[in-house]
Amino acid sequence: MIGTLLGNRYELLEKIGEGGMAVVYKAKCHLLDRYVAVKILKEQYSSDSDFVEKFKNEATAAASLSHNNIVNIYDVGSENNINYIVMEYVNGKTLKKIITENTRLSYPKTINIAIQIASGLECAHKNNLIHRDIKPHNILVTEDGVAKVADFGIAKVANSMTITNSGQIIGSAHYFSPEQAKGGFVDCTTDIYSLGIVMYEMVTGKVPYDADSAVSVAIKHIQEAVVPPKQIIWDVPDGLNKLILKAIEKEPIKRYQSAKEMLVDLNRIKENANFEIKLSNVEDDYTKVMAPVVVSTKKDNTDEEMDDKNTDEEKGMKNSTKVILIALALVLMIVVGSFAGRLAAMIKNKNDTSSEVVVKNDKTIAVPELLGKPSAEAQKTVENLGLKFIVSDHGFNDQPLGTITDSNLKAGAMVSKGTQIRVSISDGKEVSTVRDLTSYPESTAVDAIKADGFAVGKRTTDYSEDILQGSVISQSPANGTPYEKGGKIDIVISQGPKIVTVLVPDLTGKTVDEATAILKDKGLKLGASVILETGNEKDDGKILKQNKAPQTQVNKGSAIDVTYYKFSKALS
Amino acid sequence: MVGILSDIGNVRSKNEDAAEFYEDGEMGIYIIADGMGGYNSGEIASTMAVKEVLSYLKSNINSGKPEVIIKEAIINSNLNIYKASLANTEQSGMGTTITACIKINGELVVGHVGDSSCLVLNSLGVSKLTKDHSLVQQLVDSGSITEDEALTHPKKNIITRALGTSDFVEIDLYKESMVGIKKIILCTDGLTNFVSNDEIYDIIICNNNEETSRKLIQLGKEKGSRDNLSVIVFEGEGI
Repeated sequence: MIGTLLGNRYELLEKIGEGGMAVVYKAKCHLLDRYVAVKILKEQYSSDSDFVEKFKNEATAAASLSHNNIVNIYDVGSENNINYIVMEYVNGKTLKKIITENTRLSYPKTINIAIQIASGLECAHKNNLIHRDIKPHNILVTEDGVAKVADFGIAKVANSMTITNSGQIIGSAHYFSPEQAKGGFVDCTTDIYSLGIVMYEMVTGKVPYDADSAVSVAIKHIQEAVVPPKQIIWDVPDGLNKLILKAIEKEPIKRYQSAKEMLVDLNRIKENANFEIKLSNVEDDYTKVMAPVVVSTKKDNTDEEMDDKNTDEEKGMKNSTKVILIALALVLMIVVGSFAGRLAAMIKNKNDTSSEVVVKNDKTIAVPELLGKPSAEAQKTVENLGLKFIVSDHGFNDQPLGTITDSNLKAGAMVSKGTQIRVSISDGKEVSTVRDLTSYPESTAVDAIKADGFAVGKRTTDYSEDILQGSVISQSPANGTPYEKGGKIDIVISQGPKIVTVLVPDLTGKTVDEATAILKDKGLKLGASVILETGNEKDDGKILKQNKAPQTQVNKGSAIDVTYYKFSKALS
Repeated sequence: MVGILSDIGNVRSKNEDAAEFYEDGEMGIYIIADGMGGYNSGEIASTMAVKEVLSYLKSNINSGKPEVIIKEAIINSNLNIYKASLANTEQSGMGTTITACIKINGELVVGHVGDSSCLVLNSLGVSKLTKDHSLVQQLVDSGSITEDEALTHPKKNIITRALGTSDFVEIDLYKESMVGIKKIILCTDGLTNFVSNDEIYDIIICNNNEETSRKLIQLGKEKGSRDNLSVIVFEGEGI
């Protein structure tokens, strides 16, 4: 492809990227003497004329957009069965790369990039174009810090393609909206959801829903409650925390209803990181849980209001059995807070922008040692000291379930009454289900054991009538057993069928019927029988010789050939 | 008689499905596969799978339990397709579904990977024996979407297991007594996505196996299937 001249003006210079559907080249436009990016549809899709038409239509629609935060499309063309799109050439990195390089981004940087993406989306949505695949890999950031959204319309075409394609293994689902995962109606709030996920990743350095398989990720988008960014990075400004949560509400109706609406809030929190973002009016347990810990700078936040919320929350707790661990910890904190009594007043009096409740010059309490302690015990200790116990994270760990594995404050540190101690709790060892390994060749089974996060235990061999030599006969633990990751799985490998030998019996003088019975008894069988005529009537039917001598060893199941007499009058 | 038909469908430029069968007296082997991915190599994967599994079953079916032999056959073919996909860049990423059936000694044994289907006709009607390894099926299983939502899900074609995409493939095995099973139908998703079990019942009950396969594919195409469509219809043991 390199060196090809398309449309008599675009000379392909070098390959700069490849996706599932197309290859991207850097090219020189000889007419306008500038660099462009040329996206060429892969050949296998060019044969589907319906698909090519959709590809062109979408590209043409996207070409009508002109915005500084969108990778602009200049031209759409085809020649000699090569279908291509000519785009703005952006000299920069993908946002994914920037996040990876920096672990996570600062809040001003996050807000800055989010404003640019939202501006690009606003322009597209006004033109009735939904992106459908907003992810950090699709956002290019120039050296000057200008963010540009690429690939408008492509996701829609890709979707139409996969319906007709006979099958496809699912790609990444980390930025999928719940309605996309469900196959439901998609509108501009879908892009807002994905932008919210991208912001979450910028702020915390990780995506909110992760799992071994893309399908599990998709299901989490639909079902799992999100861990607020603030729970992971405790000093995320409150306004930003809430803005992200609002963007990634599971129900589209609760999100920002347009990119413009989101932009307004983004600009507000850019000026004041703690601007209070209003969440949707729709009843929402989650926001109720959060409300009491929010330190508001608004003056009308009275004690009464706080008390009401606490009472609501207590009721909520009694009525609902489905409370996730983190929410539970928060609720506990609130309940404790209401016992402490002064908490609300302390919050109210603070004008500080930090959400930490710290009363200065009052550091009289030493933080107790919590690491390695069971969480219930630790919580009691902490609360008895007048401190607050918050579970801010949890994860798989070698320590037993419920053990404290980390804390934001070291043992012995002096703190004031009411200080929050944020701890991580172990979920115990990660457990996975053991899969069926029987009949798989040893090497394949070993690969599967390792891929599932287990270790190969004892390997022994045994004979098997059923399982091919070199394949797994049995395993321990058995198929379907929940088993901790890193645990050893023992396998038994087949040596093929066992060969048993028997001694050949003496058949001479026996009749063929008698010989058949004797052989069967020994696990042998009668082979060919040859007749020898005799004139001696009393020898009739008797065996005179056998092809394997008596007392020789033969494999079980072997056939023994015999020769026997048959009386013939002519010879007598 | 066996009805067997594979059709390119309304719009595709290639048929990536493969279907074959073999009968010897009362014993029968029936296999269907739907290829995908790679650089136009879906049909290579599906053809390899069907031919290899058929030949393995033919030569080994009498040497052990059918469910063990069918599993061996699929494991073996998976490795071969996977190796071919690594050895040849044009075939990189290719894969295929497979649904292989053996009818032997009064039993129906099925080895299954992907979203092709084995359906049976008994006195209760037509029902699906196999379970798809697909995104949509997992969403249904997890309670995220309803069966009705699944029918119109745009990502119906995304499968979660395939032959040839890694060295290990998990295989579902089914073993059913043939008693009460009148007919067995194997088909690819180009058919099942567009034709319901009730529609299959109406056709299969009034036609012989060859007619049934022809009419099923015709109906699938009329109802707007854009994929390749394949079907095998064969006799059970009667009701």
